[in-house]
Amino acid sequence: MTTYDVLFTIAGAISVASALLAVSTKHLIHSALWLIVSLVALSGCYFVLGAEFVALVQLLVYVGAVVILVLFALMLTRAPIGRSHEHDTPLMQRAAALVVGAATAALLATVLISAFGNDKKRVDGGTTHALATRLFGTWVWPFELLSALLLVALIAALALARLPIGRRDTARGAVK
Amino acid sequence: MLTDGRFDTSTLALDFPLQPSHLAVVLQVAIPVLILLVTRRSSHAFAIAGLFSFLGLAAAVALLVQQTRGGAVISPDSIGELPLGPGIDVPLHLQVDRLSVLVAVAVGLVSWAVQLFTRWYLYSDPRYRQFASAVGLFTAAMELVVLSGDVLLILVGWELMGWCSYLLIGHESERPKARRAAYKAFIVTRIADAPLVIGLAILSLGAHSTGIDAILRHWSAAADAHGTALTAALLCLICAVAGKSAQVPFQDWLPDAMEGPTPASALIHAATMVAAGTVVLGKLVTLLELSDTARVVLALVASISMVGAGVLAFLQHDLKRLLAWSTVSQVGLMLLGLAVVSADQTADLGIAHLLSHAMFKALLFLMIGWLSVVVSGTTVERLSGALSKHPEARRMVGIGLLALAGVPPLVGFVSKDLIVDEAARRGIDGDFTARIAFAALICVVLLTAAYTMRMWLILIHRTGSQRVQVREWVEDSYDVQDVGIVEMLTDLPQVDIHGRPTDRTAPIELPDDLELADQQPGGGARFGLQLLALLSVVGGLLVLSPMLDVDWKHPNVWLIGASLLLMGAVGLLVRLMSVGTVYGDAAARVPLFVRASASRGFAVDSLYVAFGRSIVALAQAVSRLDDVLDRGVQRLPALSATVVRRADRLHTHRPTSGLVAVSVGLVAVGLMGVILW
Amino acid sequence: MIHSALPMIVVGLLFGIGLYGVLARRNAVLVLIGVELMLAAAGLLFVTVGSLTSDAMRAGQVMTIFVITIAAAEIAVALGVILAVFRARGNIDMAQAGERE
Repeated sequence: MTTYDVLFTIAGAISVASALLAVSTKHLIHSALWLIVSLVALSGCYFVLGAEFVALVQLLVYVGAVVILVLFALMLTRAPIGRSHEHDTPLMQRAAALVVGAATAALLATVLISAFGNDKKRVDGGTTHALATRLFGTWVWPFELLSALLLVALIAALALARLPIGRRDTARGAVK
Repeated sequence: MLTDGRFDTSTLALDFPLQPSHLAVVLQVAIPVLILLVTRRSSHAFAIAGLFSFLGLAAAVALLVQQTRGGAVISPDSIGELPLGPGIDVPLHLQVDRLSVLVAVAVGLVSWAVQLFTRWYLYSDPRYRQFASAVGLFTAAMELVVLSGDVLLILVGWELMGWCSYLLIGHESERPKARRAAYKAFIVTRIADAPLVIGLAILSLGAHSTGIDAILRHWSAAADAHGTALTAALLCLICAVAGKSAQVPFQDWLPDAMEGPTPASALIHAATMVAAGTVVLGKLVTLLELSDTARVVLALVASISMVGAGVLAFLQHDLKRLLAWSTVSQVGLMLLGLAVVSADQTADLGIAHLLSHAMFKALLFLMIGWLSVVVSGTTVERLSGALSKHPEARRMVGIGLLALAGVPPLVGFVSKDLIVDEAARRGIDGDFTARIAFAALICVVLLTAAYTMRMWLILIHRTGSQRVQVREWVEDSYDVQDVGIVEMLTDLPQVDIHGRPTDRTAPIELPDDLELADQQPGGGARFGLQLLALLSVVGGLLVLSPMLDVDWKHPNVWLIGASLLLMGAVGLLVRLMSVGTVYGDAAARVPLFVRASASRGFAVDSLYVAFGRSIVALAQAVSRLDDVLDRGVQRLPALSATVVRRADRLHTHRPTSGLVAVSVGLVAVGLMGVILW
Repeated sequence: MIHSALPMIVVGLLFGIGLYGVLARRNAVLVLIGVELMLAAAGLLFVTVGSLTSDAMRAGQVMTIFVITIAAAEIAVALGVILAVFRARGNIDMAQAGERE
């Protein structure tokens, strides 16, 4: 066990455990909050793997923006505070989901381990400077494309929010 | 045209891209092209056909002169080499040699005579133009086969001939029998043609060239190493030749081809189609000598056809079919001439008989055509005594029959005797093939004499009514509309139950206007016939010329004498058999059921039909299987649609349960991938 | 130095948990949380492979950044859709049967 192993195990365990709670808790808001914990622990994993820039982006974008959006959505859809059971899936479906999830986890882990082995490997995260050089050198066109994607997503979200859904139904009723 | 060419008057050598060998083919092709494009009337069509046919003959003759004087271009190009890559060489050149030149002249001559005769024979036929065109194309195809130096060109000409024979035989396409005969000829030769393609492909792939000279070079050198391949290729060729030349087992299409107009029969039998097999095998005869198996097969096929056809010819009720069977027999003789040649010889014997056969058989067919117009029929009853009624035809029919029988010094005797001599010589040397051939040849010489004598006796037979100078008018070609039913009832005398006039004292006089305008061919046609007759008499002299390389200086005198004596005896026997018969028909002594069966070619046709039926049944079975598969395939979409509808009904339309199902499927696929990998 | 099996196990677990979340939840926002966890697993795999194999292009980290960005865009659109559905149906229950044609 190296120091990296210990640190990664701690961060990974926290991440997995909180992810488990996030998908199993009956408190809807807690679910989003556990997601924050999981993602923060994941950024810790990134730190251990030497990708400090990615870790920071993870914190900023996910924890700072995405989860906040999720919380907003929960509130806007009038999520109940406290434990709620009216949205529980049937037991059979949950059991099936459990089996499928476990099988997928096992499958993925097996495949990945058999593909990469279990050797001790040096962690080479590289410097942020090198990453920046690459990002704005080699990868600049995909990067620009992504900015366009974000713009499109922004417009799309706006358009979705302004869809005249309620009014359409009333209009149809009026015609009838 | 000749501005840039040089012309040598002594050898007729021509330094110009267009050689007489090209012209011999192209001028014949011009006939159908011009007739179908330019003319609308039969007379114009005849002008073109006669002129270009003559020019084609002239080109062939010019080629002959060039060849004798050494001025001919040996292998002129046709349309240039086909660029098919380095694996195979397709020169597509023509090849001018002694034998091909001689055959080309014969083909041109027969074709010209046929064109001249056709004008008279089909004078009132509205489809004369098409017939003349088909004759032209047919001749062109044959000239192409004769002059080609490339097996691909041979194949082109060969297939063209098959198609043209279909057109010619089926000329009177309103008659079901003619249609059937045309289909039969086409299909039978087509089936036999399939091996030709295979055989030629083997030969040219081995030699990496389709040029005949290259093929001969390669296979002569490789005969020991690849003997089996060579034998297989030659057997394929022999099969195709048997189809085209109507040898066993494909023989039965030829007599049925008699349904075509007589000039077409003359062309098919004398010079073109049936002779094509001999020509092609003659070009490859040096290979034939290398394979004993192929030679034995060829000799057996030819011998069986020859003897069988001779017997059938004697028993035919229809004299045109008699001539057809005699063609089968004579072509077998040519092929035997090829089968018995020894290693250092070329195909001269077979080709010599081809030439003589072309002359006398064309003459005989055209004469039978003439007589059949006069007496309106070709059966024994119709033709009986035809020559005694029309003595002007007597001389030429006699010449043709004497040549066919092989009476010296006519051309048929010369060429046939050379083959018999050669077979005897090689048979004495111990050659198995030659012994088979010799035995068959002796039979055929006698059979030929027998059926020739029979035909002659029928033709000159004087019926009892002729002897008492009572002319009974039997004419069935005028139907009710022509005569007029009222006139028929009022004008004609009373007849008894057999259709004979009850009042014998007042013989019916033929009305003058009902007599055919000219019962004799016109001047051109007569000239063609006389030319053929002349050549049938003196054509034998050709063997004396250096054009044919045959051993005529050492005839087996005893053999000739013996065979002539036997022929005379057979002739006498036939004469005795014919005495006292109604139509002077010697075959009338043979039991009726034998004759009836022979007239149908011993019912070989039903074998063909059975073969065709089995093929059709097979095709139908395949078709049914296909239908079943097709229906199955057509049902697939409906089936999947049903499955989809079922699944749709089962589906809860809830996203979560659907997601679970999809994920289960994905995981299952992933697991399978991992386990199987 | 790190054992390469550790990050892989975490990747597998995170993805499996995310999948469970997607399948077992009825609330659309919670389903989205499951999707986020799966995306996070993917990002972790990218970073791990990028760091444990020396890659001059830094493709692993760059891809992760892209994935995060795309995830942000995705969540914005997805929330828009969820809000629209909520406005149309009054709930965001994934187990409710969809409208038939």
